[in-house]
Amino acid sequence: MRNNKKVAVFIFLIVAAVVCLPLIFAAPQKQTSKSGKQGDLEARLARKADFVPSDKSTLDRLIGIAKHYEISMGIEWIGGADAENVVVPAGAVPATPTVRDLLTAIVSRMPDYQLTIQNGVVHIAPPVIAVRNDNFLNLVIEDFEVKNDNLFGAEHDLRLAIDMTLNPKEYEGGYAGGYGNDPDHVFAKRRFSYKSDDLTVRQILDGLAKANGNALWIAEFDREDFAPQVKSKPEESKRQWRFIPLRDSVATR
Amino acid sequence: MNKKLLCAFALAVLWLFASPQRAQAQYCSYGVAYGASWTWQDNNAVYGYSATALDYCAGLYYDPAVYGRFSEGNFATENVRLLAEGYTEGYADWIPAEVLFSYGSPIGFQYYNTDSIHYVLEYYQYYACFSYCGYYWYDPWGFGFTSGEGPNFSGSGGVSYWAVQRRRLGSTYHTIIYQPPDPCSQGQQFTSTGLPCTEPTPTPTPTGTPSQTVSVTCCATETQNRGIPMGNGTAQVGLPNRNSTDITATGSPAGGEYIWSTSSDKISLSPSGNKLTITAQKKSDQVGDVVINVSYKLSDGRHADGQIAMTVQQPNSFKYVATTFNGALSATRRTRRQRLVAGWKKTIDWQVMDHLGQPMQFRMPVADTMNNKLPNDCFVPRMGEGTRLAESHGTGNGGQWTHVYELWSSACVNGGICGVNGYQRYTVNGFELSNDDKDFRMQCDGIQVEGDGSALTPSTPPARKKTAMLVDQFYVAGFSDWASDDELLTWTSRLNNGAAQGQAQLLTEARALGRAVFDSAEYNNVSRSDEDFVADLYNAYLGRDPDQSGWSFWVSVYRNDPAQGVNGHEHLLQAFEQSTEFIDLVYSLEAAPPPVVCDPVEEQACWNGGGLWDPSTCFCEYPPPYDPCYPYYCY
Repeated sequence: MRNNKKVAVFIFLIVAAVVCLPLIFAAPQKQTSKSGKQGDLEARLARKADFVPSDKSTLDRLIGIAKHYEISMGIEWIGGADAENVVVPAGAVPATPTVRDLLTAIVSRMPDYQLTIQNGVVHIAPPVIAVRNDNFLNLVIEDFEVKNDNLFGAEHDLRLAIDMTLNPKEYEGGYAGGYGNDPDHVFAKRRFSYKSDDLTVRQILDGLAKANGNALWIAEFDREDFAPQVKSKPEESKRQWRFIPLRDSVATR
Repeated sequence: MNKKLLCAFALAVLWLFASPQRAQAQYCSYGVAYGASWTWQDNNAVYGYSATALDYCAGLYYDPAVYGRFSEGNFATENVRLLAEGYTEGYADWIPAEVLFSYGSPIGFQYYNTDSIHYVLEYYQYYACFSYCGYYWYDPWGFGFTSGEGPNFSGSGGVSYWAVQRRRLGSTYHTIIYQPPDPCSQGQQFTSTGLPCTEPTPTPTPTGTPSQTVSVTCCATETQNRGIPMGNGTAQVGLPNRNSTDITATGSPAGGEYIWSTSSDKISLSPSGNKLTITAQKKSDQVGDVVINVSYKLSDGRHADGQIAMTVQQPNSFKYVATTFNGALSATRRTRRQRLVAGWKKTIDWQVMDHLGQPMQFRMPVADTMNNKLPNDCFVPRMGEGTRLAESHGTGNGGQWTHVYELWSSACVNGGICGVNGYQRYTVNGFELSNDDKDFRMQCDGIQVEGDGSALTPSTPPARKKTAMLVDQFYVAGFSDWASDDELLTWTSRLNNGAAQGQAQLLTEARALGRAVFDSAEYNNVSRSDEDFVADLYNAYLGRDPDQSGWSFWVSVYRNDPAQGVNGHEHLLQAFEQSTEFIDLVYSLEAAPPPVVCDPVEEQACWNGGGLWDPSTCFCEYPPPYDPCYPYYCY
């Protein structure tokens, strides 16, 4: 009888080990994968910069760098600012610059702008504007979910989620509408799923860019958008962003 | 002497026609016969000449004859083609036998040949005594004489008859290579067909390989149907309006100049070498009514011309192409504070068409608005989202536009039905297509858009609510949440059983349902304002938002109850339970089992796990790993 108990305990331990070991090792693996993505961004930023965009506009230059080195990027841009056409002196960039050096050299010449890395995305934004409460990018969306949809569908859902957050009464009963897109666009080709709880619009945009894997986002503002007592534009037109593909074609997964 | 001079003159003349090696005197025992073949060209024709001539010494009893042929082709390398042939006879040494040929369609650099067989006709009287009396020759005019070899013979030799013998003297030939006429002007090196100029002498003399034939291909266009897009104004945001297109001509050989022109007032041209930018000014009246000409000129004067007919296209309508998705949206909560909603989704591909019914195959800015008719029993707002111009990436390069239509409403949950009518209005390339508003109807069970070829039976709100819908009504109003599957099944069964026993029992169960919600700890633990509590009761018991007067009344009652020593919560519950409106609603309920509603948690777990969720079966399908042909992987 005692022997039977020993055998039962032994079998239980074996079964427990078989069941638990994968779970024990799975968690660190997930962690590795996450930090791997961050590491991937760091590796891209540490690459030697063999391409320097020649666009006149600073924004176009930043986009050019993001596209060439395939760097997930979020840009908050103030139109008509001094940063439009900054000139980077030759001496401002090391002899063999990395991509990070290149970006830093450009951003350091842009008054008020700062380069940070958050959520695995390179952010270029003027902190004074970025932290404002009336910046829609700081709006917290309670629940946001994309189910096996493309980036156009995700964008539409996010616009709707913002509107529902700001005007919940309008959507109490439901919604009837839609959106359109270019069927040939690279963003229409890849589907993905994404879910977030209580994240800001900025964080969601980061998440969508990463989930899509081929996008950077730009939110453009006018200074007057943040001026007091000015209602020159409809509210929704102050909540504009656009995604830009890093590559114009996407490989079949 | 005169005869010798004449003979020498004739010889000299014939010498001019026949080079020594080609014209040969073959036979004339008493004198000289001359045969000649000659070929020459004159501008666009070639000529041939065959001749046989006799000199005086041949005597009058000989006539010359010639058989000439005029042919095309190189005897040495091919079977020549006979163009003409002829045979003539001359007269004595007075008139030579001559044949003249001409051919008006010679081929450049082709061989043309004249070849001749020369004969002499010999006349004589054949006498029976020839065997012994010798020959007695007569010339055609009757001057006869003996041959000198037979016995002297004069006059009649007895029975005789005229005879003629054609003796072949020999043959000659002459060949030339036809040189097409030279249309070159002074200084021109090559003809328009690429041949080197010879006359007048070009300056400088052409050297090297003759150039290719000049040609121009007109034109490579942006779209297959040769459209020119017409835009309206300048887009202030997003993609710029398209109001022009480029076409490209290709001239050969390279190095020439392209000269573009048109007589149409519907466009303006901005040439840049072989590329032409065409800007629309007016829309076309018919397909292909804008003709653009291009002339490709080389520096030596040679040129080639081409033209193309195009159409100025103004956006006018959207044509249905295909439906790529059409299915139900399972019950879900868009935000945690919102009611559960369900509905329908449809994805349609549209093609932009012009005012002439032709597809516009350009990438153009596009926006649309979705305008819902109010009121509607789906309780959706007037404006759908649509696509703002600033958000739009424009149509595809082929002018196609995919549009997603979706309806979600709390009225659709749990097998409910509602519908909303409306119209969609497009703006394409700056033109608002108000003539092509797409009427639509969106229902919980389908979506129909004008022109999509689908049929949808318009729904009507059910006169009677189903028992399951009352359960939903209470849970959503009280908990802002959907009843779980178990709760829904339990309460629907209780209501159905009550209905089977009569209206009184049904009402009892319905009241019990209300108590289960509003007396629950879950509800009472949520801090609700007085106003919210009253609104919840209206939504739960009456299925509607409170009217203002009723709301104010019950809020004031609720607030005054404690002062009267009355439990306000209980007071209001009893008031709503006993209201005629609630009782009527309960009596009108239709007993029916709850429909299948997928578990949102299960569905979420499916998506999180990378599966494909089928809402019609509440089944999650996980794709096999690494199968490149599985639809999940192949976009």
